Amino acid sequence: MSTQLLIAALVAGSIYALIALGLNLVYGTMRLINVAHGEVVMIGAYVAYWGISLLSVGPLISALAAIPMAVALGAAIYFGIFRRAMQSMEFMERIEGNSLLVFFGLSVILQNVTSLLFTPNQRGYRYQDEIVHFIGATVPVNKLIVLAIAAAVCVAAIVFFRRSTLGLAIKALMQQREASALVGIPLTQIELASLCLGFAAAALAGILVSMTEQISPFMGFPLTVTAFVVVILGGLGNVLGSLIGGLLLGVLETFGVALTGPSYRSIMIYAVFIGVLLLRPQGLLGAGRSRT
Amino acid sequence: MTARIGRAASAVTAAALLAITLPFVANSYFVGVGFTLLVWLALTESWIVISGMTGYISLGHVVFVGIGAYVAALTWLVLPIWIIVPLAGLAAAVLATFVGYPCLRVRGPYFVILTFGLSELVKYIIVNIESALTVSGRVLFGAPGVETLYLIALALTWVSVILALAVRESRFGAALRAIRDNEEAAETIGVAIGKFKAAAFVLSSIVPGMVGALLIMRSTYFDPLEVFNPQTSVLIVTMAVIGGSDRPLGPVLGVAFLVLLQELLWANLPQLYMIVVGVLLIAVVVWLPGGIYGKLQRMTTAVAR
Amino acid sequence: MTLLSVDAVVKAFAGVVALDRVSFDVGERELVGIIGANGAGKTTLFSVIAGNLRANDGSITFDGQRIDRLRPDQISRRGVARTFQIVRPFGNMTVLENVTLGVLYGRRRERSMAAAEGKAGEILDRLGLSDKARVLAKHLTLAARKRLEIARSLATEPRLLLLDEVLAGLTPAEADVATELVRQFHASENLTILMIEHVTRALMALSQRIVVLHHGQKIAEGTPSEVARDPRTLSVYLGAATQ
Repeated sequence: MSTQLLIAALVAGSIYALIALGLNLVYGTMRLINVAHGEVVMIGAYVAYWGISLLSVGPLISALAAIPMAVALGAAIYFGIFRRAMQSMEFMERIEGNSLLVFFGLSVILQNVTSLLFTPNQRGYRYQDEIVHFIGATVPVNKLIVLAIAAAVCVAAIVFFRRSTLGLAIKALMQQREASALVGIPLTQIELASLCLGFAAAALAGILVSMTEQISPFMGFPLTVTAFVVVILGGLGNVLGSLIGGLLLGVLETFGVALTGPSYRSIMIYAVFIGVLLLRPQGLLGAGRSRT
Repeated sequence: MTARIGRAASAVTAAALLAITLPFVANSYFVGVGFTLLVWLALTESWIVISGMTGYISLGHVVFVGIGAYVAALTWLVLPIWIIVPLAGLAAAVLATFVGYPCLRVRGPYFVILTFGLSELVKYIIVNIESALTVSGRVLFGAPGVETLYLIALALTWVSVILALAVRESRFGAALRAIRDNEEAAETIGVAIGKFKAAAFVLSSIVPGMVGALLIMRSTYFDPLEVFNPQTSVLIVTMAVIGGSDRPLGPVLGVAFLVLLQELLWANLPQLYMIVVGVLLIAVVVWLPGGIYGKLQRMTTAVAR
Repeated sequence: MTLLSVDAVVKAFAGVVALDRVSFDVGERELVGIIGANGAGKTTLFSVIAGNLRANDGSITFDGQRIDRLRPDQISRRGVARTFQIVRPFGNMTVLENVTLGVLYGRRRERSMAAAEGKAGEILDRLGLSDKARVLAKHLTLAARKRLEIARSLATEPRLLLLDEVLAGLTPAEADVATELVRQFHASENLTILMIEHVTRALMALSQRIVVLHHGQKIAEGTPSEVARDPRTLSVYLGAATQ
C-alpha cells in the first residue's frame, strides 16, 4: 500500500518540482514574481488536449509544439512589457510588487481568454492508461511516463546548472547581478534565456499534468500556489532547493491526505506554507539569516 | 494637519450627505449599484491604510470580509443588526491583532503571498468547520432591504475615507510612510516599526469586517467559498492601483471605473470583464505608476504652470 | 562621567568574527574617533551599539543602563542616534519631511506636526539645507544627503551621536565644511560624538581620543598623537596616519 502512495507522491512531487523550477528561474534572475506561471502550465495542457482530440497526436509530440509556444510567449512578455518597464526607475523601485500585479493581470487575461474560447468546463483525454504492476504497486502507465520524464528533466536541470555555460551564467546572475554584468555576462540574453526556460518547463509540466488529470482554464491557479509553496520551502532562487522541496511537498500532500482526508489538503498546504514563511522565510534549505 | 484634513473631510461629508438622498430619488436597481460602489470604496480605502501607507501589499484582505460575514451569519437571529455589524468589525480586528505582528515581520514578496495564503487557510478552515457542523450554506431570513443596507454602507464608507485621510495626514501616517520608504532608517530614528505596522493592519481590518456583515445581509446567503473569494482581494488591489493608491481620493476613480464596467459586462460576459481588468492592471502598472489619479494630478500641475 | 561603555562585545557572522571582544568607554561630551582598515569592524560596531544588530556576547551600557538587548527604536529614544555609511534618507519625502520625522519620533516625541515642522526648519537652517527644504531627498547630491542624514539624527535630540564616515565621497572643500559643522554642533549641542572616519587628517583634528580597530580587535587607544606614534597602529597603517 505504501509503495502505491509513494509512487503517487513522487509523481505529484516531480511535477511540482518541475513547475517550481520554472518559477525560481524567473524570480532568481529578474526578481519577477510570476503568478501567471500556472497559466503557462494550463496552456501546455490545452495544447496536449487539442493535439490528441483534433490531430490524434500524442501529448509527447504535442510538447514539441507547446514548448516553443511557451518560449514565444515568454519572449513576447519580456520584450513587450518588461524591457520597457525595467527602464523606469519608479517601476524598478517596486519591481516585485509591480511584477506581481503585471503577472496577475496576465494570468487573469489568460484564464478568461481560455474560458471564453473553450468554455470553463473540465476536459480530459485518455492516454496510456493501462494498469501495470510496478514494484508492488498498481499504476497506470501514464503516471510512470510522467514520473520518468519529470525525473529526467530534473536531473538534466541539475547537470545543466552545474556544468553548462548558460547554467552557470544564470546562477551567477541570480547571485550577483551587477558583478555578472561586470564580468561580461550579457544580462539581456541570460534573462531572456531564463524566462524562456522557465516557461518551457511550465509548458512541459502542463503536458505531463494533462496526461493524468482533467484540465480546465482555471487549473493553473492552484498549481501556481503549490509552486510558490515549493519555492518557499526550498528557498527563493535556490534551484536544487525547489527540486527537493517539490518532492517533499508531494510526499507531504499525498501522505497527509491519506491520513486525514482530501478536504484537509488545502489546510495542510497553506499551514505548511505559512509556517515556513513565518519561521524560516529563506526556506528550509536557504542560507541562514543572521539575527538583525 | 488639521486644516488639510478639515477641508478634505468637509468635502467628503458633503458628498456623503448628498448621497443619502439616493434611495429617495432612485429605484432599487440604482440603490443596489450605489451599494456596490460604496462597499468597494470602503474596502479599498481600508486597504490603503495598511498597504498604501506602509508598502506591505496585502493580497488577502478578503479574509477580514469573510470573518465579518461568518460572525454575522453565526449571530443572525441571536443578536440585533446594530450589534452584529460592529461585532463583525471587532472579529476582524481580533484576527488582525493575532496574525498582524508575526506576519508583518515578513517583507516584500513574501508578505504578499503570505497574506494570500492566510486568507486561503482561514477559508478552508471555515469550510471544514461548516462541513463538520454538517451545514451546507446558511440562509439569512429577514435581512434588511437594499435601502437600509445602502445607508449603513454609506456610513461605513464615510468612516473609512475619513480614517484614511486622518491616518495619512497624521503623525502616525508620517511614520507609516517612513516605514514604506526605508524601514531600517525609520527604526533608527525612533519609530517602533513592529507596533506601527500591526496597528495599521488592525485599523485596516475593521471596516472590511463590517462590510462582510453587510454583504451577506445583501445576498442573504453565507457560503465560505464566496465570502472568502480571493478574487475580491485581487479586485481591491486593482481598484487601488488603477485609481492611484497614494492618495485616499485615488480609489474613488478606480472603484467607480471598475464597478461601472462590471455593471456593463458582468451579466453577459464576465470573462470579458476580467480580461479588461487584467489589461487595465498591466497598463496602469507599466505606464501609469501613480494610477489614474496620479496622472490627473500630473496633468493638472502641468497645465497650471 | 562615562556615557557609553562597550564591554567585551563579540559579533560573528557565520564564521567571520567581525568584533572580537571590543571594549572601550566614551565620556560625556567627548568626541572619540574610530579608525581602522576596511573590514575592521567599525560599522558593525555602530550597528551593534545602535541596535541594528545584536551582539553575540558582551554588553553595552548607555547612561548607566544596558542597551544591548533593546530594539533600535528603543535605543534611539534613550538618546543614541546614528548615521549610516551608505546614507538612508527617506528618498520619496522632502528634506523637511525627513527631518520632521526625526523630531516626531526622537527623544522629544513631538505630538504636533506643525510644531515638529517648525523645529525641523530650525535644524535645516543651522545645517544650511533650508533652500532645499521642499526637494525630494532622492534628488539631492551626495554631500547634501550626508548633511540631511546628520540633520535628521540631530532632530532626534540625541545625547550620543554615531557618525559613520560622513566625510566619505566629499570633495576637500565639502569635507572642510562638514568638519566645521561637526565641530560646531559638538560644541553647541551638549553632544557626545563617536565618529568613524577614513579622512584621518580631519579626525585627528577633531577628536580628543581615538580608538583603532583591526580585524575586529581594538589594537590601540589614546589621544591622536599617542595613537599616531603607537607601533601597532603604525604597523597596520604603514604611515597613513601621518597624512
